[in-house]
Amino acid sequence: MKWAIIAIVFLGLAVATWRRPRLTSTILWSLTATVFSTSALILMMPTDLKQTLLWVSVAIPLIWLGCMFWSHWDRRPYRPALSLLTVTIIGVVLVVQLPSPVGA
Amino acid sequence: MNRDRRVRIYDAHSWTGISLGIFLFVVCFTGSLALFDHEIQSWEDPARRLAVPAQTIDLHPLVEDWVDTMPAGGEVAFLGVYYPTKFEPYFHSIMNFRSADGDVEQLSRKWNAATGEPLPDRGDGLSTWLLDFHRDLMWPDALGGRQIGRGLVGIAGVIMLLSIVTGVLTHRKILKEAFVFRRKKSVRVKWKDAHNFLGIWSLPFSTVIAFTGAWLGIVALLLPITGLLVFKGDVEAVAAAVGEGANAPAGIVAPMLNLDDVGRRQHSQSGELPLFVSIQNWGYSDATYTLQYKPDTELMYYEAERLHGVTGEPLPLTGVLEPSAATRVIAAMSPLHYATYGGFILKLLYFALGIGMASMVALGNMVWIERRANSSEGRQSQAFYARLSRFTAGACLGVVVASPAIFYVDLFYSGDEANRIYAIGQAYFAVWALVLTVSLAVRNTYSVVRRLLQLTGLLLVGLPPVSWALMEQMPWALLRNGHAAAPSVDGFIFVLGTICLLVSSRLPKGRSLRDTERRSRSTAVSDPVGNPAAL
Repeated sequence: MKWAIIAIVFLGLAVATWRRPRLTSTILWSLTATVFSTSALILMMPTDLKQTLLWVSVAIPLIWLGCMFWSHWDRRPYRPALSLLTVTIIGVVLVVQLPSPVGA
Repeated sequence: MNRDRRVRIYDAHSWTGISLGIFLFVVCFTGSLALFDHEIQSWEDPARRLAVPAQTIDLHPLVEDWVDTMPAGGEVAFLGVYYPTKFEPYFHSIMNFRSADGDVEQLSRKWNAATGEPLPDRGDGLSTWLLDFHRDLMWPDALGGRQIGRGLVGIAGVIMLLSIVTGVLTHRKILKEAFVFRRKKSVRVKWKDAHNFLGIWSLPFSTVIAFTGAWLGIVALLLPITGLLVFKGDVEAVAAAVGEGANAPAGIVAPMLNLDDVGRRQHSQSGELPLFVSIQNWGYSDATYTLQYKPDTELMYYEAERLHGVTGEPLPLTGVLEPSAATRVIAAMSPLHYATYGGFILKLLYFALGIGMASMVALGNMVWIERRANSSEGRQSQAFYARLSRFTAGACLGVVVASPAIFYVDLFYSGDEANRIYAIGQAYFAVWALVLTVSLAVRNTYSVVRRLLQLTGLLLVGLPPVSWALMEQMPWALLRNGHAAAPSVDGFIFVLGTICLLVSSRLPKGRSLRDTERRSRSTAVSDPVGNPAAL
C-alpha cells in the first residue's frame, strides 16, 4: 500500500512536470532544489559551521527566488524543471552520503 | 528582452498576484498595524500608563519568592526579567517552568515598581493579535502551530520578491510610469496607473520589507528542515551548532547574582542600563545572565552582555549574539522590518508605505480582473469576473473593517482574561466573514467599497472618545504624566478615520456611464495582446 501511494505521487509529479513544467518548477522543484542544495552546501563547505549556517539562512530566500524566477526566464520550459530536479537529486545524494558535522 | 520572454515574465507577475494577492494584501495590511505594537500596548492596558518611579523597590526578593512558590520536583527552564521602561513601567518577569513530569508551562508575573504589589495579569489582547496575526497568522496548534503560520508568511515574502522582480522587468518605461496618473481615463487605466505609481515609488521599501519578511518567516520553517537534513534528524544539534542550545544545569545549588545590581549595571560602551535579562539555569552554580541593552547602533534589536549568574564575571557572547558579519546582518533584519531603528515618525512613514504596498497588490488584482471581464482575453463569463471582483473587494476590505472593530472588542471585553485573545480572534473573523458576505451579495462593488470605507472611517473616528470614556483618562492628563504613546495612538486613529471618510466621499457610487460604454465597445472588439507592460 505504502509503495502504491509513493508510486502514485511520483507518477503525479512526473505528469505535472511534463504538462506544466514552468508551474511545477516554480511551486515545487525550486523549493526542493533550494532546500537540498543549501543542505549539501552546508555539509561540503570547509568554513566554520555556525557561520555557514547563518549565511545560508540569509541566502535561502534569494536562492529560492532565483530558482522561481529562472523557471519563467528560460526560453525552454523543460530546462529549468530538469535542472532543478537534477540539483535536488544531487543534493539528496550528498545529504545522504556525507557524514553529519556533529562529532566530525 | 524579447516579447515572448516579456510575456512569460508578465504572466508570472500576474499569476502570482491573482493567486496569492489577497494573502499578500492581508500580510501587508496587518504588518502596517503591527508596527505600532508598543504604542497599542500602552493604549490598551491601563497598567502601562503608570509613571516610571524614580526610586524602585528591590526586585530580587520578589522574583525569588515567586520561584519558591513553584511546585517541588520541577525546575526553572528559563527566567526573564524586564526592567521598568516608559512602555512597560513595572517589573515584569516571565518563566518557563518544567514540572516533574517534563511538561513546560509558560508563566508571567508583574509587580508595581514603586510598591512591589503584584499587578493584575491582563490577558493577551489587541496588540498581541495585531502583531501575531501578521507574524504567524495565529496559526492553530491543531494544524501544526505558529511555526507553520510563520513559514507561510515567509513564503508570502518570497512571492512578494518574485512579484517585485517580475514587475520591474515587465515595465520598460518605469521612469515615465512613475509620473503618470490619467485621472480622466477609464477605471482600469486609473487603477493600473495607481498600481504602477505605488509600486515604483515604494520599490526600495517593498524590496527591503519583502526580503526581511521572507527571512524572518522562512528561517522558522526552512532552516529547521535544512538543519534536520544536515544533522540527520538531530534537532538539538541544530541549536547547538549555532550556539543556542541550553546546557543542562550543573545541579549544584548556588545563590544568584542580585537582579537589582544587574539592573544598575551600565553597558561597558554605551553606558545604557539593561532593559531585559534572560537567565539560564537559575539557582545553580553554572547559571548565566544575558543582559539586553538599547543598541548603540540602531540597526540592531539590542546589544548584549553575558555574565556568570553567581560571580557576575563577564562571559563571552555565544550563538547569534557572538559578533560576526553574519550575526550583524541577521541582527538588522527585525529593525529593518519593524522600523525600530527610528522613532514614531519613521513608523508613520512605514505605515503609509505598507498601506501603499497593500493597495498596490489589491489594485493589481482588480486590474487583472477588470481586463479579463471587459475584453476578449477573459476565458470565463462576465458574471464569474464580477463575482471574483466582489470577492477580492470583500476579502481585502474585510480585514480593513475588522481591524478597528477589534479595538472596540478589546475596550468592551469583560470576560475571563485568559480568553481575551479568543474573543478578539472570533470578532475579527466574524467581521471579516460578514463583510465578505455583504460584498458578495451586493452587485454594485463600487457602492460596497464606498460604504465599507465610510464604516471604517466612522469606527476609527469614534474610537478615541470611547477609549477616553472607558479608561477614564483624558489624553492631556496622560501627556502631563509623560505618557505620549496612548494619546499618539488616539490622534493617529482619528486622523486615519478622517482620511478614510474623505477618501470614501470621493469614491464613485457606481460604474460611470462612460466606463459602461467602453466595456460594451471593448467586448465587441477583440483586445489585441500588445506590450504586456501596457496592459
